[in-house]
Amino acid sequence: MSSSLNLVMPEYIERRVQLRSLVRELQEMESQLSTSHARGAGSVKASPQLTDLAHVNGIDLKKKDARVALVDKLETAFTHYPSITLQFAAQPPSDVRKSIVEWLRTEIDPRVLIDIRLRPTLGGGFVVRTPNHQIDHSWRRYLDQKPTGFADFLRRSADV
Amino acid sequence: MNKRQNLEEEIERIFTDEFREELRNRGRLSFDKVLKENALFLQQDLRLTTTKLNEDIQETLKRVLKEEFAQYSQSIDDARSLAIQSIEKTQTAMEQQRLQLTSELKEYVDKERQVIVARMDEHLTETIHSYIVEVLGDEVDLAAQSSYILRRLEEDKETIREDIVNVIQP
Repeated sequence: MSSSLNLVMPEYIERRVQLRSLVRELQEMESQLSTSHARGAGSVKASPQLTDLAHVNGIDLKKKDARVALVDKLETAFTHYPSITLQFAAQPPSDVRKSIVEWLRTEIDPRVLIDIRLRPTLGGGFVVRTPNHQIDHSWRRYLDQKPTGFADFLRRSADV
Repeated sequence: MNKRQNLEEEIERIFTDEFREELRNRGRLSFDKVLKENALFLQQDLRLTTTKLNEDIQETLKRVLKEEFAQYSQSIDDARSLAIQSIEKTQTAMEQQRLQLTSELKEYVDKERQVIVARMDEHLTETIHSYIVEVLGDEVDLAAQSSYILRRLEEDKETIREDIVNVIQP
């Protein structure tokens, strides 16, 4: 991957599927612009996300070449950018998601995508899945790994 | 013949009826005396014999009774010893049985307790976990866990980074 092709992703672009949506939006935009141009009509309005993405990547959506370049970057990102799956027992609030994305893109790699999944059986904590590793910080694992059983704990508590 | 006749006459003259009566009386008196004396001796002998006989009987009875009592006492002692031995054997057997039952019961209770504890351990985690999920559910305060999540990610940073770098630059 050439760095010139790297896509700068705002923190709200977290998931691979969002890249695909943006590509589709650009393709539809292209199609609509072609039709409008043929009819001699005006421009097509982009979504706030696409507008912001174009802005942070220094792309002028009014220029066809720039739009094509953005599609390429999005396709490349969709195909090659690494994704980390995070599993939670409940849906994390947006500020938590944002802080996680920021941390991953600052500390790991700016191209990291995340895939947040719900897994209520975790109880609490979270599980990180990278392409080759799974790091479990869930309550379930801590409960399972306790050297002494809860019954022992209850008994010890009763003896005190 | 004359001599004889003379003698008989002399005798008749000496042994008159009065003399004969006197002799008879004397003889009767002597006989009575002898009889009385002998009766007294006989009475004394009889008394002595009776006393001796009584003493012998008493001795014999005492001896027999003593022997019988000794045998009776021995029998009672034997019976008591047997009874005590039997009771002791029963007590020993009961004690052994009690100890065995106690041991078996303890072993059973320990085993049952272990099974119950193991079963509790096996299901408790799942139960607690289900309880936490049911109680907290969507209310799990992930916002409060934010610093915890970032701290954990920081701990695993190198592992994550290495894996991601390998994927980006194979």
